[in-house]
Amino acid sequence: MLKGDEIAFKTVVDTYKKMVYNTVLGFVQNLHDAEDVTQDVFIKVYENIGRFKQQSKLSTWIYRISITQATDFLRYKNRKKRAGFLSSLFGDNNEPLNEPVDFAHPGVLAENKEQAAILFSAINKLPQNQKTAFILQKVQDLSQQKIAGIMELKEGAVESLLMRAKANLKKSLTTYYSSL
Amino acid sequence: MKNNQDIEKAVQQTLDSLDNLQQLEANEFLYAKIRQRMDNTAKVVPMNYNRVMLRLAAVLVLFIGINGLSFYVLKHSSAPATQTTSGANAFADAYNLNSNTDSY
Repeated sequence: MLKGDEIAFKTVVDTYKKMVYNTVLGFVQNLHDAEDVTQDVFIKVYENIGRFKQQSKLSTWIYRISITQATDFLRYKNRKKRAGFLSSLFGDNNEPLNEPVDFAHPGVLAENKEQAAILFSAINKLPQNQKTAFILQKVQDLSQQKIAGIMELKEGAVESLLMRAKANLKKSLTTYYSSL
Repeated sequence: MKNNQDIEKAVQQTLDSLDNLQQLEANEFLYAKIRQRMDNTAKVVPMNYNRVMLRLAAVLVLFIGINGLSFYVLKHSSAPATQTTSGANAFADAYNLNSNTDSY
């Protein structure tokens, strides 16, 4: 693939597409957006394969690109949302914002759908590092060691991030259920 | 839901709701879509910011150069004009056209 081999690129796409798609979906929480961002990830992989130092596993490097692309996409979407809000304030654009309120992940068990949507909503309010660690653990079922490799942190730091993420989620969910 | 026990139970159930999450299959035509996007991008090569700036800088340098050259040429071409005047004077002198002496 380093030599621009098409067959090698196709093999990489076929091998990692499920991993990338599911990781990105955890962040963007929209099936259509997740597919677009997955395409972006593989285009980045193709363009930047020369920079892959082979010090980490290819999957780790692709995970990093997936997280960066998904985060950039969310930033771009939030900017667009703010701009849309401002223009609606000034009466330029009366189109409703195409923003999903609750995300129903198709991979969640039927009896957990409602709670999972509430949890995804709470995950979105977490600080970026906590959100990344939590999604990698819960959505991708990765070990703390693997998460540490992807996030370029020590395992202890990941453990601490996960603990803080769970504490923040508990707090947020308690407030939510108390208000019902 | 005001009972603390109920709230705690709901919170825990919510936190566990992503357990046994099924991984979704990505689009089976993903590679074809990626290739199509890459080919389309390759066809329409967007001029990047640096290249636009470089071209603008080149135009600016050219503009300043032409102006400088014009100024230089015009400044130095004023000498023959003076010479022309003095040539005319010489002609007038030769034929006594500018003498103030009246010979009536």
